[in-house]
Amino acid sequence: MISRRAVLGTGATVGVGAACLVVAEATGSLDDIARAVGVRPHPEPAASDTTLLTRVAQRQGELLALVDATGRRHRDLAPGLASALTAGKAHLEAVGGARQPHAPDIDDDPSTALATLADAYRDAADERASDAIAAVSPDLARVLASMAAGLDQLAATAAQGPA
Amino acid sequence: MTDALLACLDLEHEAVWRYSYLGARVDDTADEARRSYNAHRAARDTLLARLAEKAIEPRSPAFSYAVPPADDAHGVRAAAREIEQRCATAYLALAGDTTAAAREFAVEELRRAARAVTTWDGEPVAFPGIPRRPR
Repeated sequence: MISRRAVLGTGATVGVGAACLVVAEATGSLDDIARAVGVRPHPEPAASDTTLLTRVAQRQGELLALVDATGRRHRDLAPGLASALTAGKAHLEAVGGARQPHAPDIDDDPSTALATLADAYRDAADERASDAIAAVSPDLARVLASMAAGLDQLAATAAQGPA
Repeated sequence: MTDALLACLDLEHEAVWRYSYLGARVDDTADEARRSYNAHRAARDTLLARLAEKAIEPRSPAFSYAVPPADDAHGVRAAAREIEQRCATAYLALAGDTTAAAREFAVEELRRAARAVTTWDGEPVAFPGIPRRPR
């Protein structure tokens, strides 16, 4: 299964702990990706894809830290951010990343905090789209393209304001 | 990737037809349906041009298509989300194309379809275009 091997295999080479991969296996989130993108053996990821995935894992980890910190700083926003947290964790699992431990400062005003989050989603969506175009592996390209689309949806939802 | 291109074209033919139909059904959603219609017509034309460049015979649209019940705004939104989600899946397949121009177009259209799902009141998902596992 190309996608699954590419994502899991490349994730492993970027130094992700085995426990994280086991979690991804257990939740089955990667099975969906593998099923959607088909089967083709591709055991050795390109070096540039490994570098790219390392950066994606770092950036998505930072983004998840921002979502989490926004929900903690503004408890009223937390229910509306539940699906954003779920999606953020799924994105991290797919690229073998981990949430960054250092939470960013969050604005005192909830509307401003949410607008900041929407901006961060838009930036991340553009970055993942560029990453998808740069990826060597077609299946990594698909996963990153889909992530970009999911981040677009999260940006639009955050921009709509509190649920 | 010819199959992926043709699959996208088939869906764009259907989307153009569906939004033309939906736009005429309910006044409240007519403007949004027109914007979606225009977006899909542009995507269809891009696909036709790309197929012509590759000297691939395009498939013609059907005379008509099945469409979910859309007697009110709620039904229109659901019917719009359904076609956008199928478009997202088709463009996800095309996003694996190894030529930069085709991949760029596929990523752009996948993102447009995902944003349209949100515009039509859909909930965000982590991976648009990837069918969700039945629970």
